[in-house]
Amino acid sequence: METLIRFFIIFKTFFVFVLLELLSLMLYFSFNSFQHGQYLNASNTIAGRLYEMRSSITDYIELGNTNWELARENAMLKTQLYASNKALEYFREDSTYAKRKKVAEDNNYSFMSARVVNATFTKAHNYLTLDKGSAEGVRPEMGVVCQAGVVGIVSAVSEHFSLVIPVLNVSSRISVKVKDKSQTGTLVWKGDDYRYASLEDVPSYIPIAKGDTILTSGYSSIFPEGVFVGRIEKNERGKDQLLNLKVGLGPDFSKLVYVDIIDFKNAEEMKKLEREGTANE
Amino acid sequence: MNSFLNINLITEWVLLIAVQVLVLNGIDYLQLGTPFLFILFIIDLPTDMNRITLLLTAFATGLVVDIFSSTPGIHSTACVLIAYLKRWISKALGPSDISSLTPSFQTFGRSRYLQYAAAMVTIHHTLFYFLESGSLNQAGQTTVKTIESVLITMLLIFSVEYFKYRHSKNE
Repeated sequence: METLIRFFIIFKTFFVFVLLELLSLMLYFSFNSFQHGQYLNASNTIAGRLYEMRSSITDYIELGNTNWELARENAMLKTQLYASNKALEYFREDSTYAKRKKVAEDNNYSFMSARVVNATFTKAHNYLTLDKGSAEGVRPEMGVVCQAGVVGIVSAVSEHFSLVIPVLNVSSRISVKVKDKSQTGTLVWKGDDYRYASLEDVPSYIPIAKGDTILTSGYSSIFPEGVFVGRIEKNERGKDQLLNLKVGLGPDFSKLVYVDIIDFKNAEEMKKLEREGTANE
Repeated sequence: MNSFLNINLITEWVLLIAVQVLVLNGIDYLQLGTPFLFILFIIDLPTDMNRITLLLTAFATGLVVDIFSSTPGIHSTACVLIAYLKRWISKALGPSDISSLTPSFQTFGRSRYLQYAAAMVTIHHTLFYFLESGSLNQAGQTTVKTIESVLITMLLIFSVEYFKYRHSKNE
């Protein structure tokens, strides 16, 4: 026993070292995975506040561009408003079409604007922190888009902040389709360039040309159908005869400031139905 | 452990972590590796510091930066490792008598100090980026990132140390 105690005393530094390394690696393995990111990360309130303070300063640098984008969006929205007002005038009387439209609107998606307070895009596992949280009605698994296209999916929320796994995260997988070809696939990111992602799970006989538009498929409750994702930039055949489809992403992830969180009102119902359906099998 | 309560050290700790979290973590924008200047705190801790205190300090420092960078456990793992190896690295690369020195250009000499710092930085960054990428599948890409990051961190460390050196000479 005495020898054992002496042994521990002699090697005490080494034991402290091993202990601390085990503790760190435990943190690494238990918190670093996709789902468990919510405890020790930037959606943590203190860190969130600090990043909000920083971004309140750095936002000024991007102010010019942001204003321009907002002005452009305003113009676009006014155009849409005009068009829909016209349409409404036409359907003032209650017709079957107007009724159907009403139902469609009832389970519509609603949008909530949020500001990006912290973002990374050079790591393999990138994250965004937004300044809206559970208090504003944000829940995990809501989609996040910006004017230029799909941004990512909310993975964790705290009271006033939410953590988003963007397209630029090697664990992100988003169901997409090729416009006008009704071919679906999966958008993944290989961890290299923040401007490009890859399109996978597309059979190699499908003719996909450079410049084809990639949209969301609407096969999940996260994104509505037809949100812009990007364009095919490269469709080369690799050595293994598999198509290598490189997608130029719509949003510039190095300059994200304002994004929209999508709230699909019937998400719970849809998920419940799918769960029950598969459970009965 | 007088040095542990030293007000200068605490100021340096807060300053380095603030710079790391608020400025350097955002350097992603240049599409280069991220410099991790905060480990200069561990590099510059006195050589005669109690090693267990050193390990605990390194762990706490790494953990704080981890919390602010969404990299749980990664910085703390790398920081504890360099804190553990610090004694041997400073013995191997530092001046012959390192019984009680605070590493700097003055005490180590410029070239010995830079060699010592480069060894510490390389070990930390390599471990950090490989844990961060989570696999060895993209070892090439991770290595490139590590090298870029080491170069920028060393440039920053050189600037800070040079400034300290000039400052102490003028006094």
